[in-house]
Formats: sequence, C-alpha cells, structure tokens
Amino acid sequence: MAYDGCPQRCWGQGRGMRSAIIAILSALGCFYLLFSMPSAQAQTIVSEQDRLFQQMLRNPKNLDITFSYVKVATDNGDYEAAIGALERVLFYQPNLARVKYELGSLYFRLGSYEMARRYFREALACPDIDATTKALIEASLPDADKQTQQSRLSGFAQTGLRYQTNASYAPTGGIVRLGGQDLALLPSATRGSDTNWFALAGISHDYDLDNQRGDTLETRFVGYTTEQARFSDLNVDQFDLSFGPRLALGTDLLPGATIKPYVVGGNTWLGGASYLGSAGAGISASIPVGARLTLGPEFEWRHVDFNNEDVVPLSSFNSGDWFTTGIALSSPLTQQLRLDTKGSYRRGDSQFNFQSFNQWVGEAALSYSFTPPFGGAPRNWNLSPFVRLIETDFDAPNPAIDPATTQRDTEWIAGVMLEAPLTKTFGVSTVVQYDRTNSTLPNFRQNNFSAMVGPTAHF
Amino acid sequence: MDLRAHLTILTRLLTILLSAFAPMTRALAENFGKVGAVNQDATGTPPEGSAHTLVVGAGVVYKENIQTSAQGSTQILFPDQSTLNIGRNSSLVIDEYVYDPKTNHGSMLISLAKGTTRFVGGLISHNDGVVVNTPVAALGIRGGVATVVYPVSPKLAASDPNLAGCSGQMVIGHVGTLTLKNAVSQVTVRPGFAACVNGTNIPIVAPFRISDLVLANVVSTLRSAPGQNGGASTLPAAPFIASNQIGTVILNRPVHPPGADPLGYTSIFGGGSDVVRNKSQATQLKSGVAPPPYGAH
Repeated sequence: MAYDGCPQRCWGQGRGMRSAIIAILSALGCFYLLFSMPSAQAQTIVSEQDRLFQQMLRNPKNLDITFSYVKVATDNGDYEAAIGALERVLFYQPNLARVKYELGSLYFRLGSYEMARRYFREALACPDIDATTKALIEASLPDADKQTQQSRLSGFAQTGLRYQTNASYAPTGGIVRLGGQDLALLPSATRGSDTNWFALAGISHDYDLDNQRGDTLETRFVGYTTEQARFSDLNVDQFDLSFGPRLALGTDLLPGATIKPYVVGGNTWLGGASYLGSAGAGISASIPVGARLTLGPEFEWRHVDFNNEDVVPLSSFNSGDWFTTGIALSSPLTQQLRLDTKGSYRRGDSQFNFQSFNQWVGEAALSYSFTPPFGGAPRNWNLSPFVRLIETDFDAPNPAIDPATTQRDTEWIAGVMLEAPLTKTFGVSTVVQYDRTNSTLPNFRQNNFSAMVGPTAHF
Repeated sequence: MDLRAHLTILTRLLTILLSAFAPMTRALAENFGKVGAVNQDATGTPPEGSAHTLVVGAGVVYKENIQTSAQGSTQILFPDQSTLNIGRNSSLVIDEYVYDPKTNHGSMLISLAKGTTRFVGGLISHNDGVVVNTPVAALGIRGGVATVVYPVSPKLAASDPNLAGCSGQMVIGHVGTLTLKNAVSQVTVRPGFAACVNGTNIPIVAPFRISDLVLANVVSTLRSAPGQNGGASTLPAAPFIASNQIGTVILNRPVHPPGADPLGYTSIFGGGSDVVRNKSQATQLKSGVAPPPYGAH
C-alpha cells in the first residue's frame, strides 16, 4: 500500500486534464514497452552471450572469455549464467575476494540472501581483499543477513528544512469568491512564503510465517511532522499505520504473485489540534509480469472524519467515505534506470454533494541510479525526476462559495529528487518541486515552489 | 556371386552405415556437457566403457557415470548454459539430457547416487524444469539454483538442530521453485530453506531455514581444497580480476520502507500539504475579505 495521507487535492478544469492524465499514462506504458520489448539491441546482447558461451565451452580455462561472458550475462539479467562461470573461476583460485563479492551480489540480486551472505563472509575472510570491496560488502552484508531472518525491521528517516513560496496555499491573485462575489483577501491572508523544519519516518516490519508459500505479516508506519517559522497554526503532525498479511497466490499462471488484505488508519493534527482521522481497509496485489515488470492493483476504503466544524461549509473536503482504486507499475528498464508509475481513481462521498467528488491521479518517477562522483561511497546515488497530475471534480456547486459554479481543480506537480548516500546508513536528500493548481474557482488557483533538503538515514 | 562376395558387400555396406552414424554419435557426445574445472581424482565412466580421468575441456557423454574421490571435485557445463558443481566423494549419472537450441526447450534428469552437487539453472530449468533423483526422493527444479546432499553425514547433521536425525537426502533451495517428493509425501522448498528426507517411504519433514554454518560446510565440499587449482594452467590473480571490473557493483537495498522511494516520499509531503491546504483555504474566507481591487473582473 502506498501511503497517501489526506488527499485534499483541489483540482478542476476537467475533462481535458483527465484526458491528459490518460495520455501520460499511455505514453509511459509505451515507454515501458519500448524498453521491455526484445529490441534489436537486446537480441544482440543475447546473441553475444551465446557466442561467448560457445567460446567458453571450447576453452573453459580462458579467463578473458569467461569474464566477458560474465559481464554480458549480468548486463542481460542472466545472473545464473554469470554465477556458473564465476563459481568455475573459484575452482581455479578459491581465494579471490572480488570474485566472491561478485558472486554474492549476483545471488543477492536473485533474492538468494543466504548464499549472498555466505559469499560476502568468505570474501571478507580473503587475504587479498581491498578497502573498496570491503566497504561494499560491509554495506550489503547487513541487508543480506536481515533478509534471512524471520522478523525483519527496516526504516527510512529524514529531517531537514523546507522552503515554500506559498506556504499558506493562498490563491494566486489574492481574489476569492464568496457567495458568488469575487472579493479580495485581506493582506494578512494573502500569499506568504515560509520555511519549516520537518521530520519524517517510514518503517516497515515483515514477519515471515516461514511457510513454503512465503507468506508474511506486514506492518507499515509513516510519521511526518513540521514546525513552521511563521504560520505556526499550519504545523502538521501526522501518522498512518497499516497491517495485513501478504499471501502468495501460488499459481503456476502467476508465479511470484501476492495479495495483501489490510487494515489502515491514521490521524493528522494541525497547529496542535486534531484535524483529520481516518480508518479503513483495503486489498492490494503484486503481480510480476516477466522479469522486468511488476503490477500493483489496489483498492482501499477509508472513512475520513474532519474536525473542521468552524469552516465546514467553506471546506473543499469534509467527512465521509473515500473509495480508491488504482494500479501501480514498476519496472527496472535497465540496470540503472527504473520507472515507477501509478494511476488511481477516488470516489469521495460526503454529507453534502458539493463536498463529494471524483478524483483521478496519474504519477510517475524515473529513477536513475549511478556511481557516486567521488570514490568510496558504498551506495549508489539516485536522481529521480517525477510528475504528478491530479484532477478533482466535485458533484455540485458550493452555495456558500458560488452557487453557479462547480469546483473543478487540476493540479500538476513536477520536480526532481536527488538522494546521495554518503555512508552505508546516512546520506543527504534534496527535492525541488513546483506545483500549480488551476480551478474553476479563483479561491483554489495557486502555485507553490518548494525545496527540501536534509540528512537521511536507512536501517 | 559367392558367399564371400556377399559378405564383402555386406561388410562394405555396414562400414558405410557405421561411418554415417559415427558423426551423429560424436555430435551427440559433443552436444553434451563439458568439463569446466576438475580436481583429481575425478573419473568418468561412459556406459559400457572404462573409467577415464576427467580433464578440463573433456566431453561428458550420455549416461556417463561421474565419480569423485575424497579430494576430487568438478564442474560440468551444459549447452543450455546451466552448470553442475559436483563435490567430493560423489557419484552421479546424467540419465537424460535433451536440448534444442532453436527453441531453448529440453529435459534433464540427473541421478545422484552419493555426494554433493549444486545445480545452477539454465534455459532448460527455466523453460521446462530439471529433475535430480537420489535413492530416496526426486527433486524437481524449476528455474533456479539448488544444492543436493546425499547422504547427510552425521557430522553435518550435528551442525544444526534442524538436521537432527537427518541421514538421507538434504535439499537446499537457493533460487526458483523446488519440489521434493518421495513415495509418500511432497513438499515445496523456497529459497533460503532446506528439507530432509530419510527414506522413500518416510514422510518428508517440514522445510526449515538453512543455517549459515550448514551452508558453509556444504559449500566447502563443492570447490577446490587448499592447493588445488581446478585444472587451470594459469591462476587468476587479483589485479587481473580487478582489471575486468569484477566485484565493482554497488547493490541497491532490497527493501523500501514507506517514503524511501520517490513517489512514496513525495506523497508523504503531499499528504501533509493537502491537509494544510484544506484548512488554510477555508480559513482564508473567514479571515476577512474586502471588495475586489479595481479591474479584478
């Protein structure tokens, strides 16, 4: 389940944008297909692997051919072929730290963490190990070790500063509509920039039931807090918690496919007062399709309860039931490039039809993983441009705002994220993003540029 | 034409026929496994042939019995790019190997009479599956890597409480789906787990997590001992390995807690911002408004 917090995304401007979302998702699908189809280049790589294998069969002791074969097979994702060749090299010379690390990394990528751990430990014991290889192993050995445990706890945390040009989400023109009349906001309520201190944590716990289907009990937690420099009434404290079993479908038709029913709940405080609580249940699935694509369909129901009595008629969203369905697509396009996309639809039913809505979301992130520009860092850096398009159509005009105009908002967000691990545990992450909302009502037209930076930790 | 003439013609015909079949037999032999590495003593005994010492590059023929001594070990390469590591004190026969390189389909059946072997899968195991038989059970390997030990020695059994009482076949799953069955039961063995079967008619015990100690013991029998070189004439040295960019990969973390991926990360901030916006935009209307500035319409 992807955490989605409170989706008070005010969009509008309708059908055209919905078409745009569909078009973007379609384009991303085509993008994936282009990368995943057996292109001429991919065929060439396979042919090259075959050619090198034939040479290796004729002369197994030729290490130049063997290492070329290992490289091509690895690039081709045929890790088992590379394992067979490198294990032969260990027959010739059993104490090669780099070969053992490479073997461990191949098993690691195949999910054979017990073999990865074994080879990592053997590599550390080799007399020829160099400092770089040792650092690489010391970064990944704990990961491999953890994956062989029945109870596995992992986490991500960040703290830092966030600057926003429009921290109060005031309308762009300083104009609001009230009772069908356009009015000017008082200067105290107009757009204002602000900086906040933030901290977030994401924790996952998997308890392996140790059956041969691979079923696990999954717990996911997200916590998020901010402390504004100016708008202290907009300080956020938020958590979201879900729990459910992930069950293997265990069918020959869908090998590796899992399904996860879960319960979920959370609460958000604004300015120290409880503002929004939610609870519900959902079901999600993970379906590998071939070696390079995983589909993640999901459905979730949440009852949301807003504590906004003082401004109920003026809020875009209010208490009710939200039903969300969507599908995520995740694909390693190459060894370094990964595409994650998601399309979802949400129906929000509230007491008032002007606070009931249909919402469409399309989002994508392309992650480029690369070797750090300076040596010694045992983790790859990641550069991830991302985009998110959101359209929200409410069912009816809000009579308190404009009895003649139904709120329709279209929001788009674009940005880029750089995650730069500096050690096996700690690093720095920075994000810059711009978001803009177009709306049928001036109240909700806004734009905001924000930048976040701060240290990160993984465990 | 007298009898002698008939015999001469018959002999010539037989010679031609045998000459025609000889390349096919050789082709069959060449299409089989190749010895990729070997530590002595390791021998191969073709059906109805005599035992010969295995050397690197030698072919392995249909139903050849491969045996290793207490110091011997070997690796066999197969045309579908699968490999078989055979440890010390082992004896096995490749009962069946059929592979069509045009379709990448085929079949493979191995009989392990005793010892230790690790199968690293290739195209056959990915597309059709491979079977490893021992005197007590049959192991089906679908798309992966597996280690088989038969029989389990008392020393190995004593190294892990999960192996207490295990004296028959142990199977360790590394990659892919393994199905172990005997006459009375069948279990699936997932990666990182092992199972033991003590006899054909004894139910297979539930698989258990393989310990690193057991794995270390098993792995050590599947490679060269100190002083052995697998039949290589030139030993690979560390600088040569480094120059080939072996051991330089930086691994990504295997799990991603919430917020550790770009979409999850931005959705956390988005969730917080959404709440702020809902409250803030409603409150703005209550905070006071004035007539619109000139030209606002």
